[in-house]
Amino acid sequence: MLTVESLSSGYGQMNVVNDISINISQGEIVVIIGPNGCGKSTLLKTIFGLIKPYSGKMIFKGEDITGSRPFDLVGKGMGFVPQIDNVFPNLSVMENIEMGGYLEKKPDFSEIFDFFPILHDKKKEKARSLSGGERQMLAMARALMTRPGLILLDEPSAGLAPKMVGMLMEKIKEIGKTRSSVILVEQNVKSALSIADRGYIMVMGRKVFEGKADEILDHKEIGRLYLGKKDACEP
Amino acid sequence: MPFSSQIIINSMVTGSIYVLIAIGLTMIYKVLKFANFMHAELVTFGAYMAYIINVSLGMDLVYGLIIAFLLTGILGIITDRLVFKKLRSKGSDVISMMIASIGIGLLVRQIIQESWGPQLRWYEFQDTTYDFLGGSITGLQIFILISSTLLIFLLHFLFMKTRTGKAMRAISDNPQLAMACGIDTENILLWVWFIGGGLAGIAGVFRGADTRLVPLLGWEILLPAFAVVILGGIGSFYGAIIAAYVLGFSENIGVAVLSELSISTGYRPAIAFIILILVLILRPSGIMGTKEET
Ligand SMILES: Nc1ncnc2c1ncn2[C@@H]1O[C@H](COP(=O)(O)OP(=O)(O)OP(=O)(O)O)[C@@H](O)[C@H]1O
Ligand SMILES: [Mg+2]
Repeated sequence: MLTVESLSSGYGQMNVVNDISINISQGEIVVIIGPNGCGKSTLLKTIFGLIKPYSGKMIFKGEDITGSRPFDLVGKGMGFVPQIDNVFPNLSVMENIEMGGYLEKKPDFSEIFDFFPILHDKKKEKARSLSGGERQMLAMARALMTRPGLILLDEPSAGLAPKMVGMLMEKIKEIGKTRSSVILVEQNVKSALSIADRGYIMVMGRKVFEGKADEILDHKEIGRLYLGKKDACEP
Repeated sequence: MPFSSQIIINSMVTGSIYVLIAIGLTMIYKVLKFANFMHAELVTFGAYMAYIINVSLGMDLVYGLIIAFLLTGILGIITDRLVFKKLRSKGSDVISMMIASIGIGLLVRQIIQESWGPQLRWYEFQDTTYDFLGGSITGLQIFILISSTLLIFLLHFLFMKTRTGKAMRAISDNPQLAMACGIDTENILLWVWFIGGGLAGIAGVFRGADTRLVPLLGWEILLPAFAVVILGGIGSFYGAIIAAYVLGFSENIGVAVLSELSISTGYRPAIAFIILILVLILRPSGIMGTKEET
């Protein structure tokens, strides 16, 4: 589905992502974990074309997409839910979803409301009045409306109550099974790994480990080094 | 006496013209985040385009109005393509955009001044005056009131019900996310310029017909227009509509009071200034006081 080869990027002079290679196949859920500020969001933004890479190569569905703009990537079937500002606050829930389906000839709204029933009841409310969990659901619903083959999710569970986190992870698992491959960046490491197929660990812009999800969960050294404390490796 | 029906009529007409200008300013501000100073010259440009059709070519002013709308809208698009789009793609900040808009404004004003000279000009059309609740209203003023009301409803429909209008609001809320939805933001921006510019052109024709044409036509009402935008709560569409009429009334009542007190009505432009300053001091967030409103 997507292959990223030796990707480096950053902001101006500041190199943030360093020589990262990852890949994801059809129907997979892959999680990227790592301490705060290690460049996870920057990596996703670079894949989605919001930041130009310094070097490296990205192949999506067999096509070289290095340097493509977000607008084109959406057309090619990539979806993105940013970490912050991931809904249109002054648009209603319905309008947010409509914007998601902007390019669809016949957007299927009832289908997405079946998948996220909470949103149906709040259709007319402004997105900014939603709770944190509802907002994340809306952000995902919006992104799914473009019917992506691959969706990039940046910390969807950040700041949510544990119960909500569980519910959201179930949804993501379902998305992975029935709708789209998922690259998931998460701080809730355990719950993310429990639904993921594989995982990558990133520290200070570099990939330090990759493996099967349960392998990472069981790995003593990794657990101690990277997963024990969130900020263990803050540079 | 300040509250005559004549004052109400005059205030509504003034307000209607401000509305058309303020909506365009607000639209451009909402999506591009800068104060478009050349908006004044779009107003003047529209007025003179209608002059060409109406006086130079001797056609009905209604055709002049339509052509003014189209050409001013197109001028908006052209300046965006030639200047603002380039600045955007270079990642320029809003200050550069604002200064660029002042520069283009000067250029357009100079071209108009060179082409038509500084003298006053008038459109050629038949107007009838009607008695109305003790005051008088002209056919032109009725036309201005009705058509700006219609335009407000039309725009409301555009923003709330159409795909393009919703995309405009989406871009204004979050341009990056709009791109992530596959919205072609550059294409939507063209519509913003076309409609915002076109409305300025219409306002220019109305103002020109209600008063007279001069190359400073738009410049004279830029300050009140900005006062309207600020009074309405910067970026608030509905706030601007209310504020336009508030300012229309303030100006006309102010002028009446000034003449009661035998003070020169030449102070009229100062009224917008005073209101602007009062709002900035007392209620900086404007009538529709929340920070981000539609
Ligand atoms: N727009 C920006 N301009 C400049 N530097 C930035 C920008 N965004 C992020 N950075 C810097 O880049 C580094 C990586 O940030 P990034 O957001 O990618 O980290 P992250 O792994 O997503 O962190 P978190 O877990 O907190 O979301 C940080 O040092 C951050 O300060
Ligand atoms: Mg992040």
